Amino acid sequence: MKKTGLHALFDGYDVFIIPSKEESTLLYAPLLKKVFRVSDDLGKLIASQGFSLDSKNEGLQQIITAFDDAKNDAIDPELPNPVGTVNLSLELTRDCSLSCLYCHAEAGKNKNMPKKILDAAIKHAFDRSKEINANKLYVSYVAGGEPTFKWRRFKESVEKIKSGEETYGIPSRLSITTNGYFGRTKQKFLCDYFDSINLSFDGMKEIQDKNRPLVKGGSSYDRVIETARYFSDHAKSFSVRSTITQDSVNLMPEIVNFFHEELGTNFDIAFEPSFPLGRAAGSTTIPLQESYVENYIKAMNVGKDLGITVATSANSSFNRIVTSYCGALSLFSFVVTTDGIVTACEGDADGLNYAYGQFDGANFPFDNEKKDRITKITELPKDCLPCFAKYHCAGDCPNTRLIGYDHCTIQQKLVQYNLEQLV
Amino acid sequence: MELEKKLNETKFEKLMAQTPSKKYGSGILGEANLNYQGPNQACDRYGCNCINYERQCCIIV
Repeated sequence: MKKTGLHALFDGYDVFIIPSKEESTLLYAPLLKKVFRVSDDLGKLIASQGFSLDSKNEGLQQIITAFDDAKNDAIDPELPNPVGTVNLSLELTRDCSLSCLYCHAEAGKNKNMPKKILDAAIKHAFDRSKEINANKLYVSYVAGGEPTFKWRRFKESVEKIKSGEETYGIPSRLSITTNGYFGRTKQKFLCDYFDSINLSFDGMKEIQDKNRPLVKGGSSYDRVIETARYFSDHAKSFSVRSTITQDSVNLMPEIVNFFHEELGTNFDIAFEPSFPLGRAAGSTTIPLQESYVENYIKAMNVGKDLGITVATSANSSFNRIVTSYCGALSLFSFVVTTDGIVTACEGDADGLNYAYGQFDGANFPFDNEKKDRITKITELPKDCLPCFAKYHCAGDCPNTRLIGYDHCTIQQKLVQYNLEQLV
Repeated sequence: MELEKKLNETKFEKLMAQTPSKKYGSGILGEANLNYQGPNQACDRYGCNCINYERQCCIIV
């Protein structure tokens, strides 16, 4: 974690003292839901003396009164109770039609989920949903390779889930992340059956073809743009996921304009920086975090003018206090790999890091010790305790921490950017 | 998607509207109340709050 300024406590509540512009300092008390801009002199006084009632400084006394009043409406940072839902994620295949430079799953392997595992996984998800009286079954297709690549198995899985809805009386919510490299039959099927479609599509032809070429080389652009057009007209909820590399980071505002020109406004754009995991491990294409933030802010403002939401994960939680990064690990996602391994994270394509169960030929027995160990991974790292962004990122994705990487600069700069807009 | 859009559009305006208009003592240059929700999870792809966006940002897809 990068150094972020000073930290003080007001009756046990965190107050972060953040150096700001024009000889001023931000006092940020996230759980008290307050932010002050103060002079550097007052900031230094608080940093050295804390919130002393004995101080004769009028400004400090007003801040103490304001913080004291805010305690009545303070946020209790305890984790919310786990929601009673089952999150089923099916890794139907490790194969893919594209060979993206930074694929987390290093897709392109001829490994597919056997029907027996698929049927048992869907049955387990519905049985468990019924057991806990869940009002909906959440199903995501994002783990492993391109979900639609083995079309027959993919279609079979969706039909099985739809049939389960009737048998169990539990509706499902289907979401998918797809590379969009296919024709009208698949496009229509996804729009008919999926509640939410996320299309991996990086932008202009030169960027898309460089980052997301076909497995045997060649352009993916023409087909994917056609898919994007179809989705923007027909999907129930549609977002474009653009992964940013060092080569494309300065083009982020232009990418927003490009998507607007091609697709209109009936979609969101979600940018994320590539990071050194999977095929991108050891890569030099990871964007500098400072450049990413600078260009994201420009892109977000372009989107605002055009009527398009331009999101990035580090900016999505500014209006919320978060105490755990991910429901996948703290609520235990039921991700089933092609081998029948049950893992808590869709990014764990081989079940190496977050596995807690294994298909035994009929069922999926869980290892509770492993589950306990996974739960601990979601705890906030000690290094993060003095950071003013900790209530917005909760220590970032455990997968990122696992490889010794972080998005701290992006997270901190975006939190500060948001605070600076307010005072 | 619509809810997310609505929240993004109104977030700053709502927060700014709550900025107290009282006079400040020495050294205070501005103050804002934050309309935070929570506690919650950073990742909102599990239907565990009102914004079911499934951004799947932690997975490089």
